[in-house]
Amino acid sequence: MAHVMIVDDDPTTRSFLRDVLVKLFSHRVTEASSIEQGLDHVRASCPDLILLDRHLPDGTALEFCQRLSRFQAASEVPKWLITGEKPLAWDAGFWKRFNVQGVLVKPFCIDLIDHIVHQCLQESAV
Amino acid sequence: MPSRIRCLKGIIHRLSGGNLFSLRAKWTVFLTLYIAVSFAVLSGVIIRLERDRALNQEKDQAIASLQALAKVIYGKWNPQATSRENIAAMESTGIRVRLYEEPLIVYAAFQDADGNLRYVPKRNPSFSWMVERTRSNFLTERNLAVMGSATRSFYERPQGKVTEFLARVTAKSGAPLGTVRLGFHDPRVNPSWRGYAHTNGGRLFFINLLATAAAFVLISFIASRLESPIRLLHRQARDLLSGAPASAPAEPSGDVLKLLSREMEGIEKLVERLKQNRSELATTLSHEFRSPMQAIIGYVDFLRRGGAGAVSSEMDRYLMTIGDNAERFQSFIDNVLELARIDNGRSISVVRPFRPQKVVENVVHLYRERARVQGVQLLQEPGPDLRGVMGDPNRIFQVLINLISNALKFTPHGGQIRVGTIDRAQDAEFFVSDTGIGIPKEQHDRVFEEFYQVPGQPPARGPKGLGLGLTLCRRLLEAQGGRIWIEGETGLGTTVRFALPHAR
Repeated sequence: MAHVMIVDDDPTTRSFLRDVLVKLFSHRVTEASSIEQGLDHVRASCPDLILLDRHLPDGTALEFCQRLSRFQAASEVPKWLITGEKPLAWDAGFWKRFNVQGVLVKPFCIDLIDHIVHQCLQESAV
Repeated sequence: MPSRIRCLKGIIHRLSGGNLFSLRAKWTVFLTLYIAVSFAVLSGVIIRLERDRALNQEKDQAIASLQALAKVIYGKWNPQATSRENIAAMESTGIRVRLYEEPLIVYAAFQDADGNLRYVPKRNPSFSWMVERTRSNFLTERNLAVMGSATRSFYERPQGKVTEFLARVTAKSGAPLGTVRLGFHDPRVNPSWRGYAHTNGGRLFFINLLATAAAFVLISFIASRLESPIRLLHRQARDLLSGAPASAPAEPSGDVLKLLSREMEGIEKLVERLKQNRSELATTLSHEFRSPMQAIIGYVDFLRRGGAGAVSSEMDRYLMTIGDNAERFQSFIDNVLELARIDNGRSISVVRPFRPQKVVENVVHLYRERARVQGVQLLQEPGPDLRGVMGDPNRIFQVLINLISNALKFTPHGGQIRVGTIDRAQDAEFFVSDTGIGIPKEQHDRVFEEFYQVPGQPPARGPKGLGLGLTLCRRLLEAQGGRIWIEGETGLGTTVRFALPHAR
């Protein structure tokens, strides 16, 4: 079982991810709708994976990552970005610095969510 | 569209040429000045011709009068010889040649042998007067007189510069009788030219003024007529911008070019804004569509997996239909928005040298997990480290995304997709090669047509596409000076290749 944090201001996306992760795969889920809230949650309990919306009410995913990187314990948490836009570019090298492993472009399938959580669990086990 | 507006703006700017005058004022002033100068030059030519004619006339008269004088002198000396031959003989002495350089005698003076000078206080002496005076001064003597050689000198007189001719008169015995002094206007001063200008100048000036005024009226009328369509254009543009009904009756006043130029700027801004709006709309639409689509497609998947309890086979079929159609709708929106962006001409932002490996690496990274979930292996072929390639890396990224999405759609579970680059002599080649169902050879060109789909080939997974993906790729590549083509056969997989020029 993994602890996944969802940082997204869209309640539908949050509830969908929660339903999938909790009901189908029995993971633990923490939800946040803004950067501040997300950081608070991370301080309280460090997750195994963060699913991060690219645009949040109080900033971008990049800002979240930059602020998170100040916490020693949480900076290395693997992250996946969620976006509603078809990516026009992707700089894997740049995002690697924040341990952002990829982008979930809506609409994404449940298998993909399952896959990335598994992968992240395997990595942390290693 | 914006380039056309820029061109129009350029023309307007050239017409108005620095905004000093309005179009009408400029053309009117220019043409009127032109006509005034033409008239002045013409008047000058007329005056000059008239003066020449007058000078010639005066000269002829003077020549005639002096010839007559000489004839009288000669006639006194030899009363028998008054015939035409005598005159010819007289002329052959050279007097005429020396004496008659210039016309119009302004004064005459007679000097006798003792040096007594008698001026004749009369201007422009006439022929009969000359004859009379010559008789009275010289020819009352018993001695017959003869004209000696003439000399010439210049001096200032109140009438202007004067050329004086001296002709000595000698008795037949050789004793000097006196001198005839004749003054002529110096040709360099030309009082007759001044005189003509003085008498006729006012009239000429008046005629010129009148003609120029007439030209001014005519030209401003024509200029105004020429300007009226531009005025109309301005009105249309203004109405277009303000959204007023097209038949606004008010005629705009002021410099029409400035107005038009302002309107052009307005139109340019409007077009820019519309384009911006459209682009924003496309982004927003695509963004706003995706979240609800995620919910629909995601929850359909969720239900089918039994997230909310067991699902009967009938219900599963319905759910599948909902899911498939939602995905179709999604891909339709994606493609249409993408096409709109390309037709906008904004898609290719900058063509610059870039390293293709980097782009391929990023795309593969982005899709690797997704492919793995679908049971397909996505590999980046190790290739040569290419020198720079000319293109827009973001658009190449997009082309690769499209090609990989296609490949994923048509490659069954257990298949493989290879992506890579090849260095060719003339250009750099990219390829996306799959082990999918392949495309028959005769269809290789047609798949790039808009909305074309290979008949009888359903995708291995996901909804049927729209047949826009490859069209998009081709447009994107052609806009960057690249080309795209397909290789492979039915059942042998498909390889899509595209090439871009090397950076110099």
